[in-house]
Amino acid sequence: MYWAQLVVAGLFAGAVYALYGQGITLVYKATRVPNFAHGAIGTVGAFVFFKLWDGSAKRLLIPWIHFKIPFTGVSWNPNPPALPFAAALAVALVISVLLGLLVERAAMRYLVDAPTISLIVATIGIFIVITGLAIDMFNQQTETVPPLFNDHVYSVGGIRFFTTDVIVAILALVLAIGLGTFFRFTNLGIAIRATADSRETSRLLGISADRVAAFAWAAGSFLATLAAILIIARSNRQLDFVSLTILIVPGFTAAMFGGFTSLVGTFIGGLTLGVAQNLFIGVHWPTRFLSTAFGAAGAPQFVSFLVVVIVLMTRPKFIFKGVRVDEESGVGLGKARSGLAPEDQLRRVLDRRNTLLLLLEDWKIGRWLLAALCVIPLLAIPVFTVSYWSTVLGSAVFYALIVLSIVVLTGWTGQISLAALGFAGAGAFGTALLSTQFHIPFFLVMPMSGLIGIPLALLIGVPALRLRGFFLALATLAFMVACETWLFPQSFFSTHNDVARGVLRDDLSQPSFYMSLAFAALVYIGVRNLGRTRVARAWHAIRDSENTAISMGIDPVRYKLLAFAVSGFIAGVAGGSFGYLNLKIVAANFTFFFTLTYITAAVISGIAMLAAGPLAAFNFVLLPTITARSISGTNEAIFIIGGLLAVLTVIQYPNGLAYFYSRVLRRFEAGERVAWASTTDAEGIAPAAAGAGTEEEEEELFNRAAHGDLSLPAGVPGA
Amino acid sequence: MPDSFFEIAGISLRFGGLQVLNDVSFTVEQGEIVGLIGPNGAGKTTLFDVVSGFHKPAGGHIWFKDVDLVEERPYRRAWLGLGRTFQTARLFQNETVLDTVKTACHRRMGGGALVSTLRGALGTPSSVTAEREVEERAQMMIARLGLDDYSNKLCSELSYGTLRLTELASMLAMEPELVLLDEPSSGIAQRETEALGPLLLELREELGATFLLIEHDMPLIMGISDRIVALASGEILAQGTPAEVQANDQVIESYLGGRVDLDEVVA
Ligand SMILES: Nc1ncnc2c1ncn2[C@@H]1O[C@H](COP(=O)(O)OP(=O)(O)OP(=O)(O)O)[C@@H](O)[C@H]1O
Ligand SMILES: [Mg+2]
Repeated sequence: MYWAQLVVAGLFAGAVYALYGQGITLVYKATRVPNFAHGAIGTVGAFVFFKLWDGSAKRLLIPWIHFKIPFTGVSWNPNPPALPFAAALAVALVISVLLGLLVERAAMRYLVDAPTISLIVATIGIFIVITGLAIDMFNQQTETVPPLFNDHVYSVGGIRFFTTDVIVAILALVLAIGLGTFFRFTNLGIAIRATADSRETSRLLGISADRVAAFAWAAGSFLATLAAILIIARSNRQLDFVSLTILIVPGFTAAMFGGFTSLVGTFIGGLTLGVAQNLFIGVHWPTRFLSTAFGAAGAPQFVSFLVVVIVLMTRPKFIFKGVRVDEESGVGLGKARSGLAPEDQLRRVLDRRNTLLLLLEDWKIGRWLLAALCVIPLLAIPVFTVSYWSTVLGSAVFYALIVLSIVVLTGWTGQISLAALGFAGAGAFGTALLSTQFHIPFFLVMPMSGLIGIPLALLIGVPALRLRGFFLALATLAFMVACETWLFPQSFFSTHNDVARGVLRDDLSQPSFYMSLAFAALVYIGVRNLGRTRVARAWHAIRDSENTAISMGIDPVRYKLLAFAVSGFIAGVAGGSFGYLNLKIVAANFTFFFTLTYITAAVISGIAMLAAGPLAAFNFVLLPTITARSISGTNEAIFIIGGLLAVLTVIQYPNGLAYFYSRVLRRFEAGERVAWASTTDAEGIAPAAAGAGTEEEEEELFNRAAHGDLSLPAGVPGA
Repeated sequence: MPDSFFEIAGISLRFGGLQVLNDVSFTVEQGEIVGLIGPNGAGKTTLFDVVSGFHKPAGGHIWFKDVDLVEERPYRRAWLGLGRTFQTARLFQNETVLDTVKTACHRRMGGGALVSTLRGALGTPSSVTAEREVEERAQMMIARLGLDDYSNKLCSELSYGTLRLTELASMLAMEPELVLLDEPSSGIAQRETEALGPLLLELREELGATFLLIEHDMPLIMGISDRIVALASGEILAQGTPAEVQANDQVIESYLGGRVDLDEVVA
């Protein structure tokens, strides 16, 4: 009976995951976009509904809507009309559909052939923008909403459940079957399937892939709102902007069971996950150690992680039959488009003003100037200011190190990982233990905290060996959420979370800041050195083409694990510096949401460039802090701007800011002016920029190669 | 134990219901250029993939210098002296030509991954010297193929022909004993293809390597190969000197379709 109850409860919980996952499956199926914004879109719909519905509107703490124009004091607080249930639902659904269409039209349409990392970062950016705007508009407080239905308690053979449970389960089942039928038998459904297989095919069939994508986003958002309202009603009836996002992992997991294509599979997957979680929680662990470890509050997320890893590793045939597994790493720099790249346009402008050569010539001095400009304030400010600024600068150091660890693992090696803060958390909690329990001095703890990051990184690195692209992102995300909700909140960690500063004085942040700055500098120099060796080349090779790398004798297993280890080390050191700066480690600092913001910051700043670290720290820690007082119009401005920047970056300039600077300041090449001159005819640019391409030139190249008279330096007449 | 330098012995492979390779056997002697021909979908690339270790054969052995490659991990095969290029020139999109060729020197640099990492991060003299040597070596190979002007271009910016030359430069840098080339002429213009033959012959001289070559360009492959192996539907149709294979009725029927006659090749 005990187990039967658990199974039934698990089924009802699983129906929620299924409902949530179905919208994700729909969008992925038609567009191959993993939609991280799904929960955010649904939450907006749910807010609209509960603010409009006459059954709930009057009982909300803040029933009005709060429009405000950022950076100004202008605002408008209308009270929405109270509508009957059906009308409120209809308005909510219409608004979310429009939102979905907007997302498709304004952003995703420009990312059709984009690499996986761009898709992930784009939807994360959209998620952040929507959430930020909505928090400003709707509520910053958690609202409790009244029940949707008069909930009856049913009891069948001692197993109890509620009306809402039944409605959710039935809706999920109906959608699974209904949408399944739709895809199999209707023209539009078949069109969507054709587009999913190949845009080329759909073009030949005369189907507009853009229209299919728009439909998928509209339908996905519709489902998101429906799911959000029901899920909120079914759980504790708390309405806020964060609780639904945590469903990302179970939602993706459910969708994964359907191979991201089958809605019935998603339904079954949701139920399976729900049951697995409940059974796991229901186990009476034989020893106290096991029961505290596995009975902790986050155990369901731990189960999600296990399920994701097991399914992705074993890839059962019945799930992955029709699924295209990513062949590529999904990380790439943007391709040269037709026309001049922005950096070349800038160079042309500079050249016309005769400043380019001057600038480049002076750049040798310039880079020292720039370095001085960065380093001197960094060293001087803490001396002249209160401790507060050292803490701010210290968090900048932390930020830069986390981005660096992402650069090594994702930008350099092509392993899309969303777990950077997991490694950092390990380093931070390790710092607390080592410094307080074992009284180890700072100088030893910092490198040791890096070493602690390594095993945690390898823990996810080993399953990662068989995964690429989005599936790898999914596994690491599940890992991160398990760290956040299950591992770090374990009572052992929350009772051993004080950091002893020892010789560094406890009442000032300055010494800690200088020390972590010094360690960060060492790590940076080490990574920069490493970037010039064959290790980094092997990583790049694995990122760009694993098979070519293998055929050149690079062992992908060894080098991928190495990348995880190095990345874990860097993040661990970051965690150590975090510990010494904050003195108390709390799990809330190492969340998957923050990890998502770090990866967007890394992409905006240039995911494959070392300079991305300091740049991101400057843009996303220092600038916001410095300008904090002048930006008062909206609290979420930083996030909103960051999210918008992320979307803009992946669409317009996927290589990121640091890349832009480095390209602007590169050495002047002969032939560049020729390329600039011919901008009018966009076709000719790319080859001209590459310096060759006409058939004659190329033939000449082959002939010269064949005749082996190439020891002469190029440019010598007759060579 | 085989007596040949390289021997494919009874390799078979199925993809689902499709028998892509069926008991394929042939040998390659040291220093030879052996051409592998066959119609589209014959299984040529798949055979290369089996040799490289990207597919595991259902049965058979691949003997290379008395080692059974089937038992070796894919990346180990490069260390044993096997090099290959891909049908759709698959180089490193975001790397420069110079870095690509340096990457090809991977196995020539000593030290394990972990040791290299520590040395590299600390910037020890040994690591700096090793890097300088690789740089020089790569520059030499690039100069050898006349790619100096391109050494700082990204592979994604290169035209197809230049990409093919970069591939060959990487092969030179790897110094393999057996080179598998998958359609080196695909994607490049006719007149460049004509220059490719002499280039490959010269590379053989310089490398002292053995070549196994897939080509659809008949004049090219017939002109430079010592022997030809003709594959169709995963089975060997014929093997022998170019003249013998061209005269083979089955080959003519299934592939050559009488298009190529010997005079054209000799001319
Ligand atoms: N990964 C795979 N899964 C299933 N079938 C495959 C796979 N790779 C190749 N095939 C099939 O195996 C057969 C042989 O393909 P292969 O690429 O080896 O031909 P090929 O001789 O190289 O042809 P081409 O001259 O066009 O390059 C083809 O029918 C192809 O469709
Ligand atoms: Mg082929």
